[in-house]
Amino acid sequence: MPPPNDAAPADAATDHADRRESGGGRSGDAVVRARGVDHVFDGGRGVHDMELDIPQGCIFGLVGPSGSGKTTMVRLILGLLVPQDGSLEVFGVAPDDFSKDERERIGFLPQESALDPGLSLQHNLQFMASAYGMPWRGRWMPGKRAARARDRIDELLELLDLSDERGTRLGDASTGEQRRLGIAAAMVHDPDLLVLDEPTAGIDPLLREQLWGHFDDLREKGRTLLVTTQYVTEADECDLVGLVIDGEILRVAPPDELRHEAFGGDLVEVAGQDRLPVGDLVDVEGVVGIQRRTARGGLLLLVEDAEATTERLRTALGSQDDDTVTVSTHRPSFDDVFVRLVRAHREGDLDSPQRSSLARHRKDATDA
Amino acid sequence: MRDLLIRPAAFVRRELVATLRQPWLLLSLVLGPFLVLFVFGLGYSRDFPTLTTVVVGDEDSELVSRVNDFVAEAEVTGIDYVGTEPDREVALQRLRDDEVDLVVVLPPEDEVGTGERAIIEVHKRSTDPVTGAQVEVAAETAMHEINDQVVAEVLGTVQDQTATLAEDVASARDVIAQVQDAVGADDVDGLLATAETLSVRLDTLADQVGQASRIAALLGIPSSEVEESLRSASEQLASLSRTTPLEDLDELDAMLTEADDAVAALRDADPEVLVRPFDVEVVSDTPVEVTLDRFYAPGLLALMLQHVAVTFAALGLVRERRRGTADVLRVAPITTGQRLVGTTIAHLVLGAAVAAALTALIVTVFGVPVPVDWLQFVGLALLTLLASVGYGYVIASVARTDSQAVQLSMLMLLIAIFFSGLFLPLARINFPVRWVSWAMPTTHAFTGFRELMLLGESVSNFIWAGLSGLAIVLLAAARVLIPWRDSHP
Repeated sequence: MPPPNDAAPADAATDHADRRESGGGRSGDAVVRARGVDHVFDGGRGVHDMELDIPQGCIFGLVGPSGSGKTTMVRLILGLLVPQDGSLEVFGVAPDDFSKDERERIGFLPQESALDPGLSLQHNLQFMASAYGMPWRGRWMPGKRAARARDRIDELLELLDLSDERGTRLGDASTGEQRRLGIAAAMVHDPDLLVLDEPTAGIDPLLREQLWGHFDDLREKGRTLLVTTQYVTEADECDLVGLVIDGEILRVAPPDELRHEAFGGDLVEVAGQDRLPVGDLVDVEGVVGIQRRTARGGLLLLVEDAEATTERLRTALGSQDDDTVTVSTHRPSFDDVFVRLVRAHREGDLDSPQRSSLARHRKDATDA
Repeated sequence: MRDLLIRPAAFVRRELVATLRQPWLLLSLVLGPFLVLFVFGLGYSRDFPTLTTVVVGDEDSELVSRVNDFVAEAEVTGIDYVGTEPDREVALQRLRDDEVDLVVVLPPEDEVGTGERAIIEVHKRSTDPVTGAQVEVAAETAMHEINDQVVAEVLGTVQDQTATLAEDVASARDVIAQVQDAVGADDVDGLLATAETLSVRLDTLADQVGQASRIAALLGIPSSEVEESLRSASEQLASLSRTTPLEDLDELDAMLTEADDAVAALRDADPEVLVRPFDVEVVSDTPVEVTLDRFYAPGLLALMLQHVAVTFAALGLVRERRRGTADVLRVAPITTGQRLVGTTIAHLVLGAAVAAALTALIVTVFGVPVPVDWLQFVGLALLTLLASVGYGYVIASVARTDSQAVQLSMLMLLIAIFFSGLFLPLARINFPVRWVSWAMPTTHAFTGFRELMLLGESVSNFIWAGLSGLAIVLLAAARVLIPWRDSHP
């Protein structure tokens, strides 16, 4: 699968590549920076006190239930809404002051299919390419730029497995095909920042996995992706996750860190023996307590650090000599993580999580 | 510069491709209005509907027989005379039961000829104002006809009487000749006897001329002078016994000759010409006869151009907003101006194609003359489309949903039908309401197309100025309103 930049897309896209090299190209620089941003609609819903740093070259997931404010945050970042309070910058510029240059560096996939259902998949892509300054002309018309635009469109259709359906009317295409075309349209000019609002909504798991594979590829090429999703489990696919509830970002952290915080430590599963020496296990250094019994009669232990404690547990159980005993790190589903964090937030057990987490990541970025 | 062209061109191509992928839509845009006009032309009758009429009156009365004669002789069109009904209430009930369309109630005979105008009542029950107006016009026409007939009959009677008058005049002239002879023969007794007889006869003649004076006046005959002269001559003849000689006999003879000529003119005149001295002959100055379908064809073209442009422009932008395309375009490096320019050009191209096809059909099928100036015709069509697209954009900035956009577009269509001169002549719409008419692109286009196609003239400057003004104001308003609405969906 050829990387977007190597495929010689149209001039607009290559211009972006130049900008990536010359400014703001260092991995870890914040592409999006928000401080205390408010935007409240009539009735009180909206976004409150949004604090956000999205480093360049990462997949940032805004995860939260439907109606939690993810799309409002996206619209603020894109300049479709203006903050009522606070400061917000994308590429160092406030979104309502975006020039043509900043706009050319952003690709956007809205929640709804924003393309023309009366046009074919290919014509829709050609239209979006032209919107970004890439000429839309037939093959019989001369012009190198137009030829490059056609090549770029062919490449994207191939990448998203839509080549065979290029002539199909969008209105006749399946939901998955429509969604993939939307992603292709957002990527057509090879943007630095790709903002995808619910890209996997209504898409089957196989295709979802395939799409996340494409997102990983883009991240590898240095692109920054801001992805919103209501599939909480997809948070695992992100480098950083912003957990959104009731218009607030509760936590911004890597997925494993969120797991750790949700449960107050890591989880280790011990299984295999008919009767486990519970008392001995609790006394092992690093074990905080017993989380629960597993369905297979084992135990789920809450530990301070899974990697360090696993070895101690194996030693304590003598599992090196006994094949029937297994000690392994347990990764709870993100649904569980999400439920625990939300519950803790609503019960008031999470204090200032957002800022503390942000501060930690700012420090990480500086160290990098 | 290249980028400035690429982006608007993207909208042009998108709209054209999307429309060309719907051939039935294009076909219906052209064939739909054409078929409407075609079927209308086939089915519409230029004649007024025939009205079943009953007359209330005694069958034996003079008035009823006069009406019967009138209907039989005048070959009245649009009236189906079904006879008389003696009872007024029965006749009116038949009207209420929709058995007849008109009830004509004649006045009682004793009200006629009293020196006052007798009233003939005409009862109708049609809810259609056009038919109502037709009845009023028909009743007025019939009344004029009946009044004219009465006058003509009176004239005929007078003419009959003039035969006697002419004989009397001739006789009087003979007597004068006798008097003159008697004066020559120095027969005083014979002279006095003849003069006395003549005096009496001239008096009678003066009375008859007096009676016919009103009719004679219609012919321009100074009958009162003739009457006075006759009386003066009568008096002179009566006084012959006391005064001599008869110097005035020659003058009297000349006077009678004049009276004889006047009576002859009165007798020979055509009563019909006397009653209806003028007839009318309408001569059309248009290059071709303007039939109803030829009149409506340019109007339909104008109406379609407005409706297609308004609806497409309004729905296009509202759908872009509803689908989220507007958001994507707001994020993209495209200005509202580029977006509107591209979309407008696309609507102009599509509208021009529809106009070309419709024009070809109305010219070939309905025989509407080709425009005298094709350049002006194309310019007028494009300017009409431009102003209409402006309206579409303004509607798109007001409407939040497809259905609101469709409703407002239909409202525009309704306003255009009622106020553009298509339904009622523009001259019958008073100011300031007529400004509503001139706010419609259809009004300008209809007027301009009629000038170019039906009158063979150039488009007047008022039309150019009005349409240009509309287009500029509306597109400027759209440029301001569309971004606002996109950010406040």
